[in-house]
Amino acid sequence: MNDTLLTIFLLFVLGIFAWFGYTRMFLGMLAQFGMLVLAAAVGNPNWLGDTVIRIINRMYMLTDMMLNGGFQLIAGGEFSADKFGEIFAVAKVKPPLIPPQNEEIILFVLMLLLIISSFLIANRIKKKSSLLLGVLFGLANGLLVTYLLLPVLGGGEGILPTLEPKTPMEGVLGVLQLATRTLLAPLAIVFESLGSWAIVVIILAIVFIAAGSARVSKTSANKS
Amino acid sequence: MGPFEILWLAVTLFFIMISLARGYLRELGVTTMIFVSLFVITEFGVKYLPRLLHKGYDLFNANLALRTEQHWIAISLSLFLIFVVFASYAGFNTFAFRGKPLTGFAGFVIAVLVGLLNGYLVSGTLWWLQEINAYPVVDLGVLVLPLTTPAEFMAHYLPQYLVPSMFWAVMVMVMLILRVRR
Repeated sequence: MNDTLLTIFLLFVLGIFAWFGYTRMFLGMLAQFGMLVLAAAVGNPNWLGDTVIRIINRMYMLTDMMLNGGFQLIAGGEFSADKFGEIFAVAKVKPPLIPPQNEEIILFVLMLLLIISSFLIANRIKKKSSLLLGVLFGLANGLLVTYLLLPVLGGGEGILPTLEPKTPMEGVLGVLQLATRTLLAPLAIVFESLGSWAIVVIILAIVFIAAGSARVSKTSANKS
Repeated sequence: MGPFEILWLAVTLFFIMISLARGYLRELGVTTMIFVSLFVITEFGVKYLPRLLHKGYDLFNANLALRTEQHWIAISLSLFLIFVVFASYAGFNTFAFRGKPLTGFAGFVIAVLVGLLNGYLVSGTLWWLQEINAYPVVDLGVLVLPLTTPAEFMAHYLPQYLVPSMFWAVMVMVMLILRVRR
């Protein structure tokens, strides 16, 4: 994907998400943001991906053990460590449900499912909340989805940093870092394009948002 | 004593707490007064106060050493800013914006932003007054030099380095228009 196509794609995604944020408002977008961060974590083997695969494989092995003699042992009252060990040894040598060569595609499918479910969850939240924050969180969600899907579409990286954690703790910190950077990415774009004038824009934005958000009743406005 | 950025963060946190406690519409009144004092300090204070000091010392036939001058400028302008900020909080009828602030999370975020803005302006200006006067506060043993690496980074983003002094005057007008608009 060349730069022009990439820019058009990015603007298109951001536009859709901003509109979605406007219609679903802040709480819907916040819920979606949480799901998208989870999707990012599950989609990356270094964060939660490996753990998820391990859990699925172990659950499969456990089910297999129960179906191939485990239930009979428990129901028949012949439960002993030796007999259970034998069943475990048989189940252990069987190939896992998700072999290593299929891990990547399974994680990608899981990530896609989580992205889709993030929309469904955002749709279910009907409670009224801030429109402005909804649009801002919508843009952040758009950036996050672009970050997740661009490598697949051949757009490379660059919008957000690629994090390669080595330990689970680094993975958790990486997810938090990704969430923070996604929320701060619009600010970074403003700073990059405006330089030191960005602070003027930010001061004006805070003042106008704060002053404009006040609810003034007609009677109190007439009195003053 | 501790490094500069800790003081900066403490002052900023202090303003965020006040903004959360008082509500952001009242804090916008304080923001207006901070804009006024920033304009006075940057446009007049740092230009005319040194001349005034020299005239005063000349009257008594005294010699004004550079370090003493730096102490005078930093202390008097800092006290002026602190006085204006405290005065904006004093009394029952402070200069506040009309209406009811938003409640819930959106109100919380806006209150934090306004507190952050006030904290940045006040602590940034206090820092800037130290910076342009070669850190006279160090002589009092209150803070230590050299600046740490984060502090050196932060010092590039002090409000007076990023914004021309006339902007504060424009902001005062903007705030007054926003105040009377409703």
